Amino acid sequence: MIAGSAPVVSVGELAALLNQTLEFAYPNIVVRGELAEFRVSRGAWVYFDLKDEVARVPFFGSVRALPGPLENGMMLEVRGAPRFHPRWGFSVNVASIQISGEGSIKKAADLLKAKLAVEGLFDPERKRALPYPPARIGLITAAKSAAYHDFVKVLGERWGGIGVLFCDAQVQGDDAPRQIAEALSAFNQMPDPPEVLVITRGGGSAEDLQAFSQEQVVRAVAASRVPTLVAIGHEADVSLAELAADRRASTPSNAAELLVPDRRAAARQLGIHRQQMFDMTAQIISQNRKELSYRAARLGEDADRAVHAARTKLASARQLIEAFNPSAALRRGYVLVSKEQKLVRSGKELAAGQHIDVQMHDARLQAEVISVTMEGYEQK
Amino acid sequence: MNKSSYQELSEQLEEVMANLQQPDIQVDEAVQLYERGLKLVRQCEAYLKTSENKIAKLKAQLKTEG
Repeated sequence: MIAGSAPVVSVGELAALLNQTLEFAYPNIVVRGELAEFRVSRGAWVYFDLKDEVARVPFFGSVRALPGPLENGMMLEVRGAPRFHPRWGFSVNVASIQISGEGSIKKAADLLKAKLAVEGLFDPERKRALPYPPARIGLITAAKSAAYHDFVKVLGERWGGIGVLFCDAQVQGDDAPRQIAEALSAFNQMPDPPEVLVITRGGGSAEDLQAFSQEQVVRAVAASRVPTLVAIGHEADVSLAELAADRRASTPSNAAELLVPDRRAAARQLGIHRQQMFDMTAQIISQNRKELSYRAARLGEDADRAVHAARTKLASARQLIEAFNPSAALRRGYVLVSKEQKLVRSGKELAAGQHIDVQMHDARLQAEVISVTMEGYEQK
Repeated sequence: MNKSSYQELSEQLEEVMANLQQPDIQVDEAVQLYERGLKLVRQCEAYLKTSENKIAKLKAQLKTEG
């Protein structure tokens, strides 16, 4: 190195050169390393180092970049811009922080869960019932994803007439939390929002799913005025967004199953109702028929009875009349005595020598009275 | 046809069926109810058979980071 060939610069110029060089060479970088010396200043700024076995690099950023509570020792993946500040020297300006590795991801989720549980975000009393079925659904998921396709397909198979408003958002990667939170915010700010918001994605690794245990997302779900259903397809631990939601489902398809009834089952039920109504009506008609014939039979019986009673009465009357029939009396041996065509009932009306007519049942006699003897009197 | 229409039809159908079960119902009233119930069933079945979901994209754009 020849002395004097190096440029002579001021301190300020050096700082500026370093910064420009960094900006040019590394506008953006993602660094993976172990968190160390983590601290929050004035509730607004975060300072930390990322280190590994050979080096340690300082980072600086806003608390808004935090995915949740962090602990030294966690493995992080930090997107940022390495820069040289004229006063404070070198540091990487943080754009976003993700957790790296299952262990750290689980640790971070546990920390956040504890923090938010204290605030009551997961309380069962906060859960609201979802309309069943909803008239309009807000759907937040990645466009063209299997989750989108599965949800829409199962929804359509099961029920119709629903308006689905779809908002395309990344569901993994470091911009996912911001996009999901903004989608939730956009739906909530609508003057006439849908009745339920569905946030869903398919399965994936712990890294893929970490957005759903990220503080910004979990708070946005909890704060949503519109009821939420979160469906993350996985078999492992439940994400915090699912805990904060009003309802959770295991997969996108399961979400559709929970939200709407099945039109095929409804059609079967309608068939049953159809038959029930028919049976009920038929029964009423048949019941009526039975009553009618019963009444008709009763009427017949009553009529018969009346006729029979009349007949009996008539027969008695006839017998009575018969008893008074003169011919019967005549047949019994009684006779009718008449004088000068007038019926004579008493001996007082007769005297010896008078001509009388005697009516027998089969003959008429002309006779002359010989003597009249009154019952109990002497002969006249 | 929206959800509340189907819901209304469903409720009306339940009402018809409840009325059909009244103990002192007359025949002509029963027949009228049956016809109304049948009409409601057909309307419900038509909805279930034909209606589809409408999917639209949310108009509000997500702001992209600079």
